[in-house]
Amino acid sequence: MKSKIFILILLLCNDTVYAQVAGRVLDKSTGKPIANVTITTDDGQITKSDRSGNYRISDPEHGTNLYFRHLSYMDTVVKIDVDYQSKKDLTIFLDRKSTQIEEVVISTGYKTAAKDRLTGSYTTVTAEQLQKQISSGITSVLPAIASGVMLENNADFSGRLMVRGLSTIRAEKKPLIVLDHFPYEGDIDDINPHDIATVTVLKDAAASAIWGVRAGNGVIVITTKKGGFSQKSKFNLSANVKTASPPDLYRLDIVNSTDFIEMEEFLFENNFYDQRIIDYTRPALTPIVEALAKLRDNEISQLEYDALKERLRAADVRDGYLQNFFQRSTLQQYHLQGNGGTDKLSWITSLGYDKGIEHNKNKNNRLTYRLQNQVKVSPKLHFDSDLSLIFQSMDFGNPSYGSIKMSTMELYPYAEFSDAEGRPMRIPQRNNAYIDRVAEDGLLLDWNYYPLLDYRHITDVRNQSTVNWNTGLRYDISSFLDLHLKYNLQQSRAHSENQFGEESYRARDLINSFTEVGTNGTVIHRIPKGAILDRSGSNNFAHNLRAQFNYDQSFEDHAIAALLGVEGRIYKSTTDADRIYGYKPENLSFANVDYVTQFPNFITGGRNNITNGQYRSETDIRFASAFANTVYSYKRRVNLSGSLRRDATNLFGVKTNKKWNLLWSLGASWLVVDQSASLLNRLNVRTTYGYSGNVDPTMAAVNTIRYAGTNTWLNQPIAMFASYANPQLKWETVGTLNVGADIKLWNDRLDISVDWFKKKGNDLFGLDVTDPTAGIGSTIVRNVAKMNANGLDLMAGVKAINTSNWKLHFQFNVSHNVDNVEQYYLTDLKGRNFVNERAISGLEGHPVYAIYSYRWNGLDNTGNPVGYFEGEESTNYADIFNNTPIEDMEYSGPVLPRWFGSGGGILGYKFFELDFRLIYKLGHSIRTRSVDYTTMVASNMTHSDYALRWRHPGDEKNTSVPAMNYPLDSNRDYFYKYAGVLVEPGSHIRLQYINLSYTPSVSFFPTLKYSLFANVENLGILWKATAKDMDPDYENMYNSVAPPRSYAVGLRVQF
Amino acid sequence: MKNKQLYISLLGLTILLSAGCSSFLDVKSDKSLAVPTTLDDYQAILNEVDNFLAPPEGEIMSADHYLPDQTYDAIACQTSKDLYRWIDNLQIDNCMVNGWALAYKNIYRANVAINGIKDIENSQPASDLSSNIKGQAHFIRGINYFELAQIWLNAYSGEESRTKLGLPLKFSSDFNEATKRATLGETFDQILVDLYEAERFLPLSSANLYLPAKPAVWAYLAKVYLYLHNYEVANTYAAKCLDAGYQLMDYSTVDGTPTFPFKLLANSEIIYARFLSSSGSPASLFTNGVSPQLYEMYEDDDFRKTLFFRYMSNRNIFRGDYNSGSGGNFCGPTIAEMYLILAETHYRMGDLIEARKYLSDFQAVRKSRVPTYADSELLDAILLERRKELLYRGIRFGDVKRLNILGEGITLKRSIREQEYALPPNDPKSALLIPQLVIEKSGIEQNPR
Repeated sequence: MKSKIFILILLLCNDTVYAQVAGRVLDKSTGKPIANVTITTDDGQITKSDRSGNYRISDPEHGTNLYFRHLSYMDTVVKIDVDYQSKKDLTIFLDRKSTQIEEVVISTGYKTAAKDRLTGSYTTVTAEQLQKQISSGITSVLPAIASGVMLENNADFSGRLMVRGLSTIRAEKKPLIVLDHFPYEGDIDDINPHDIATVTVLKDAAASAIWGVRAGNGVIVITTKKGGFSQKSKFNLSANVKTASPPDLYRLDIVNSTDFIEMEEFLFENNFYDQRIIDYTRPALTPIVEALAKLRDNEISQLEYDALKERLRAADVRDGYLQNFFQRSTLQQYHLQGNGGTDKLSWITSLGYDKGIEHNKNKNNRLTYRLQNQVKVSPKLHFDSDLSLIFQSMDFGNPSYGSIKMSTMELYPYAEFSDAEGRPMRIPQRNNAYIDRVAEDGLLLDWNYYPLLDYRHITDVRNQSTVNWNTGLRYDISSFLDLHLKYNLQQSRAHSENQFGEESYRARDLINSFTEVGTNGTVIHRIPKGAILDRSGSNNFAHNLRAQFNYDQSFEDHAIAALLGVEGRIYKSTTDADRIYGYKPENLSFANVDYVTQFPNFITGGRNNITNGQYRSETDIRFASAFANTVYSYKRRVNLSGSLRRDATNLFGVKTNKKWNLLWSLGASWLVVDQSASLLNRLNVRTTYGYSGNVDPTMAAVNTIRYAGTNTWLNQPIAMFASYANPQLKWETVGTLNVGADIKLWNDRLDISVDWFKKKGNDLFGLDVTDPTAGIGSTIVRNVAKMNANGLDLMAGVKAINTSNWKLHFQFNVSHNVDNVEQYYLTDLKGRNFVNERAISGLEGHPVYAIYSYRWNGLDNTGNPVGYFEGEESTNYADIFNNTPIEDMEYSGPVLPRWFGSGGGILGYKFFELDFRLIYKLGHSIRTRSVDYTTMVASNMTHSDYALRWRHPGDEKNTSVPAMNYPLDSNRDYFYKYAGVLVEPGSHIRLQYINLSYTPSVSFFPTLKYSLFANVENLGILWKATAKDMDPDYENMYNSVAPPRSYAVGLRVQF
Repeated sequence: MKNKQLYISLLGLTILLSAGCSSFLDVKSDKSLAVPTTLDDYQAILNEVDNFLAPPEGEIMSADHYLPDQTYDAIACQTSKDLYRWIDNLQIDNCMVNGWALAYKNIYRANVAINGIKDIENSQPASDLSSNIKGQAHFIRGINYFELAQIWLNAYSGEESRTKLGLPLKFSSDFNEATKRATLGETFDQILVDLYEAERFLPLSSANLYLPAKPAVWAYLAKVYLYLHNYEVANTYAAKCLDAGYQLMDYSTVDGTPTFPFKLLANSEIIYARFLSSSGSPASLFTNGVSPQLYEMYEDDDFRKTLFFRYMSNRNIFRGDYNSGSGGNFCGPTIAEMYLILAETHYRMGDLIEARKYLSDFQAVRKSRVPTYADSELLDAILLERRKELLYRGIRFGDVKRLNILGEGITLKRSIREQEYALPPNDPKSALLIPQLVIEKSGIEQNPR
């Protein structure tokens, strides 16, 4: 027809004349048979290809055309001329319609199948959707486009992708990442997004049961781009650059310098620092405390003190960071891809280069290379190979915010890195007066820390190279049976070197600490002068081998597709680390130190060993699995599916019969309506039920020990118990029911897919408290827990306008998820054990992660917070904090969003397209931070609420921040920290990106296509439920602000 | 034909995989993991650093050290604050080392080693190495029970107290075994059984201070029998330690210029190295001042007055730690302690001449001038030397309990922000409350109040 058609005809010459034309219809890119291709002739014959792609036309007239039509493929016409007449093997290859997604093909990693024939719940994201956001990895990209996927920050798995919420309490909660056919052991973000063709999320049990034990938390299948047979060579070039300003440090909720100084003066008057000033370990003092001590001892005058205070009140450590260490971040990405193929060989290759410079000058470089080939060795034997190489280097630059500390404490807010003339200033790490005194003797290295200079003496470089090689053979035993052998090798080597130069504070500090001065003034450096070089490396190997039979046959109305296979997997990991003292990088010399003898610390005289920094570990994790999967279809409308899998792993100390676990799923679907041109175009209903499990490494039948380190007193190895004989422990099991429907309305203009699910976990692992007298500590893992979860995933697409010039599409993903603990053994029902919302709370009838808080009754007229104890108002904080039973606590909502998802629209006019996406999380609560006086004085972790604290009677009407009293009462601080008044709703909607693209058609050069785009990401929060000035996703991390808005421009060319 | 091919290949695959599977899955998932079976494994289990640590609760409850009010205020951990002033606390907040859990973990490790070596010796003859490890395990189990008993049980007051509440005695490697309290008498019987077993199996001497040998067992037997008021036997074992060749150090020759004048190694007094657990917030208790009243008791001619203390700003800080301030305070037995046990036991057995001899031999290396004591002053002088010599070693609290049984009438007192706190003689609170978690999970009886 009008569109370009490539026709490839294989002729097997045969002189015998048959009065018919027969052959097969195959997919041009995969070489797979295509069923249900309608074949018509000019003279009115109609036939359809069968499951094996075979067709037969009797007696075609000379010169007639054969028309091959299929929903998902380009229409193809073949003229039967003299040469073609009477051929018994006329094989036709059809081109898949590239932009059409009428028949979505889903890759589960074990097979690809038309979505129609799958009974489970899947979401697929295309390359086009992925490319709307500019990133070097897909973790941050998926939540804005994939249904049921969320990036979670507030529970104990920060920054982790989650698929459909929780299905276990204690076991692994990460989804399984599959790259093409095999689990990917590396970091998902190492994969260049430009090489990705589709990302499929397998959400329910039928989808995941085939992946076994590791699939309980959902599976994310990444399929890379593949070449196709018989294609002209094509090249794609893409280049883009993204930039963002440094994070807005002024949004950090730390106290201002004036308030901090005021607090220090208050504490000084109360003798809080007396011990710290004279302490024989010489801890660091802030400049104000140091000056106050000098003022008290008449070493400086009041005038001098006031001048210092005046100067420091105006200082802000954030200015220092921004001026000296921060800049705009940039990310440049370049990617060139070529693909093509002959009738026997297809190829695709790509080269990608990413160069990122973070706002603190951390440099990331990544080079990716890929070569994928498919070869038809013979009509029955196909070979493929896919090699991918990733080289990465990371070079750490300037200090990141918060990394400069005062010894182990946070930096005071008025810290100065340089004086008025720009000369570097010291930040105290020890008592400055003491450091100055010992410096007078001239025996030691300078013991001061200058942040402006220090990072220049530190190099921290990490290199990583990754090889991922997939290869396979497919042998067509018969038209309905194939044997697949697949092998995958993954190797990743990483090496890091962290060199603290002789001039760096870290090196000087260690050398000084281990310096001894003899009575006659001789100086002995137990750690020789020179740099300290920490090296660490890791080497990870994974081998996967799979043998699999695929059976695919149809008889009239019935069709069966089945697979049966076995696989084995070895994942070996070695890590090691060492340290070199007295290192001279200029000539690579280094020194020996004595690790066995204890030497006195220069300051305290306490004796310690020199740390040797050596470490080594070797793990070898193995899996063996057998699996089977069958789909029976009746008239392509009714499908019944079932899968079965047994997994085993080499858990140490576990009895063999417990190493194996059986997982299964069943499913059914019914295509109720499938017609064009009516209100309801399509209605497909599906349901699945499956059973999966999880294993805990502590399931050992005997006590196991782990060799860990050396007892330096004895110079002998130490073994600790790794697990205690716990033979009652068994696999945990999770059953998942999924019911879904796919609906298309009004000529496919409205496309809805909805899934409801219910998960039920039995015999889940939970920590059971044990009697410490037993000698194994106070907790042990047992199968003590039960939980359930249910929810909903809804995807809806609307093509509001779809004309040749105008396009207006909307798409929404809505996910709902509620988890509920049914049973979890808790012996200590004191409320204080439930206040950490990042830990599993495990209270029956509530979510796994929940916020509980102390009931709050405001401040009294002395600025003290008032709570309740045993039903009465109380200010006995020790009782409130320690003894409030959980039933007297307030349940303040779930930590995980009840509703989450994304939504957006595309507005197109001619060559322009404007695209935006929102992300939202709704229905959860956030425990906001406020001032915690105990922590503030102990570690300088401050909060700007300090300025709002109660100061005078009457303030209690306007503030809920308690007064600062001395002595501090940690129970009072805990009570306030975990009181209901600080819990805020977490619901919010953020605008993730806006993308504008321009894709003109180039009439003078028809094979050339190009597109230009501009993009803004992280546009910020559009709406939030709380009135507090905060970002709910970043609120509970100290020293962290939301990522800044970023801007990108780019170009894509295809020729 | 095609089917035949299929079946053959299927069969082949199945055989291949099922044959390979069992050994494929028998590979260790982590090279550092092991099931303890060899003598080296059991020695490595006993090498765990915690095995060298003793519960700190007793030391916190003795009144030898002192915190200025501001320092006390700055302590965040309520449990350590309450221990410091003898307020009942069930250790729910878990903010400091739980000595009960620490000691029972040590006992569990010892049990695993004892039971494991029993299995090994069933199949092969006992060797010096297996005896040695077995001896170490019995030693560790015995001294841990002894340390627990001094803190959580009432003092031993003769036959009539044998039926009082004792410790749960654990012998199994099965952590599911029920916990029951034995009697006080049974507890001390077990301590002695373990120490006698250790004496039987351990060698005469050890190359390493951290590995026990027979003298270490004798020293603990002397300590235990003294606690049981069995002066004759205590005396015998203390004397055996003297015969083993340990020497008192002459403090007049000790250089006082380093921050910590004493070293653990090359220290002729140390019989066995053991430390008070100091991890957790109350560590500062030990790095802080010594009680001013105690400090005043050291005469100016006492070398310890300068070698043990350093005046820093407003108080005297203890620096006489034989572990030179590295981690926990030294709390093992020394030959000096044996001299003091010999002096006290001779006195109590009525041999004042011998008592005086050991006291003056000891004082000769601690003081520049050896005082003379009238018969009536002698016992007080010996007990005062015990207190002055053995401070910060977790010994004082047990001593106070033992001496109060003998009618010494020692009341421990502290004053915090003008508030007085006291632990009167033989008060029920001298047997610390067992942590709440233990009571809840095991159902054993709590110490009465």
